[in-house]
Amino acid sequence: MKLQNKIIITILLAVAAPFAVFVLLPDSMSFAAVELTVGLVAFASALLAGLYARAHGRRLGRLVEAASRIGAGDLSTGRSQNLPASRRLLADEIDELNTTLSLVREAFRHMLQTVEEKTGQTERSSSSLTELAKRINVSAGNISQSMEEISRGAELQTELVEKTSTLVGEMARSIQRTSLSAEDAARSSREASQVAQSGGKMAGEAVDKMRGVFEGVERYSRRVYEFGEKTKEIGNIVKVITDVAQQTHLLAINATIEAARAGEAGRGFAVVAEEIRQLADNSSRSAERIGKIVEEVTAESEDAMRAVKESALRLSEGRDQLSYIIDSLKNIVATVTSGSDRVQIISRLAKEQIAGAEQTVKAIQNILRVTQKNATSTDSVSRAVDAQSDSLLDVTKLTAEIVAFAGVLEGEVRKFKYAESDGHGEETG
Amino acid sequence: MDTEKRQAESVDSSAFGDRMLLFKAGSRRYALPLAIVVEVLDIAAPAMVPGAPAWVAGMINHHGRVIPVLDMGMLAGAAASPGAAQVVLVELAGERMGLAVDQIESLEEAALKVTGAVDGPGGRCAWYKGEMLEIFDAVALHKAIEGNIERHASEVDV
Repeated sequence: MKLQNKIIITILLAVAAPFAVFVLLPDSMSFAAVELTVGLVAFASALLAGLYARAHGRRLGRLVEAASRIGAGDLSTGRSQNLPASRRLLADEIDELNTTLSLVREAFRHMLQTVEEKTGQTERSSSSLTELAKRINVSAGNISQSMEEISRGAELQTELVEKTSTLVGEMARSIQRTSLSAEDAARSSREASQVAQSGGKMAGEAVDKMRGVFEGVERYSRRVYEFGEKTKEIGNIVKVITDVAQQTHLLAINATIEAARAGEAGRGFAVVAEEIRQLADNSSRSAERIGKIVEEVTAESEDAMRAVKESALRLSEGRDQLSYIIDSLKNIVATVTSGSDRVQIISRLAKEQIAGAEQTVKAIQNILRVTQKNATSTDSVSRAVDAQSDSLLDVTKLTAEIVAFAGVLEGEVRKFKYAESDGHGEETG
Repeated sequence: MDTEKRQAESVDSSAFGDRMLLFKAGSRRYALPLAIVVEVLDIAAPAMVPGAPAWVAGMINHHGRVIPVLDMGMLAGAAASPGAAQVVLVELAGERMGLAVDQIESLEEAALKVTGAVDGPGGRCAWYKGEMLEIFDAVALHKAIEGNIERHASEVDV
């Protein structure tokens, strides 16, 4: 309800009340009583109207007071703005103004609170930032130091890498020499292998020939043996002849004796017997000679047998030795071949090593380049760190400014009184 | 020609003349007059007689007659001839006996020239074809046999 309406209604009520009373009073009443009653009612209504007007005046005064307190920066006090439902219908502009004032105060307080909070945060953040900046500065110093060390390290590394490169180069040259030697060795061992192979072949041929000779000797030996056997047979026959001759001899002697006994009559027989005896003697002597010759022949054939056996033995020894030589040559060939293979492997490995060494040299050169680049990068980093340090100084300065600014802001905010009083809590509660 | 000449000579001499049978026994050579020789035999081993003295080589069967064989070497007082392979059958005073010899060598027509005496039963010796021969005639042989028998008898008595 608007204040204007309230005033009109009040006035109307104040005017209408006496009239209403007058009308409503019974006719039986005396005039004086009527006059008195009306007059009392008129007075009462005028009094009530005056009281009502005064009440509104006080409300306005409180409103002014509240507005002036806000103006003075005191946002702590204030009544509850939530009107009870019964009064909401009767609320007038004063109530609305009061509500609006509370909202303004609330808005202010909220803003100030926020500002204070944020200012505090800003200060804290600033101090953290300053701390951080200090720490970063220290770290930057450390980084700078580390960078110098890295730079020195890189120089040392470069030196070492150059030395290593030289060493690897020398190693590669030495491997190359080894490879050349290995190739020579491989060639030599191949030649040795060929020589040994041809030697083995020749020895094999010699063995074949020797086998032929051996067989010939064996044949010859068999023949000599057969000859010896035949000679022995001859000896046996000669023995038989000798026996027969001896018996004949005895018979002849006996015949001679008999002839002698027969006297003159046996004389002719004695002559015959004597002839027979002489023949027997001759046969005996011849047989004896044959026997001797047979003995000699047997002895010679035995010698020949022995010689043949010795030759066979020597040949067999020779054959064994040749076999041994062949085996040895084969072994030599095998050994030389395996040696040659190994040497070839060595040669190949040496070549691979050379390739590896070249790659190593390349890799080392790459490392060298990288190291040099690193050194350059380290310089850049150092410079960047220096720049960062400078920037951090700026940041620190700016932070100090921000902190000062925040202080100012806080001072301004502190001019308002809003938080410490109990009223603030009641207001919000 | 030679035969005829010899034949003529032998006709002039006695039936046996000075003919000698030459043989080898043990390590020595001997000569026996052919007059006492009956036969020469080719007998390797005479049958041993148990209990007989060493100089008796054994017994042989000659045409059904048992004849003693004496070791010629031992009889002559020399070494025994264990390898004796032949026997010279002789007849002394109607008794036949064999002499075991190593080998009958030859029959010599000519008389041997006695060159000296030897200390043995033969008593005589001769050089013949570069070798020395002991000549045993019938008397010497008899004496040798008797001597051996006596010695044996005395040994048995003792």
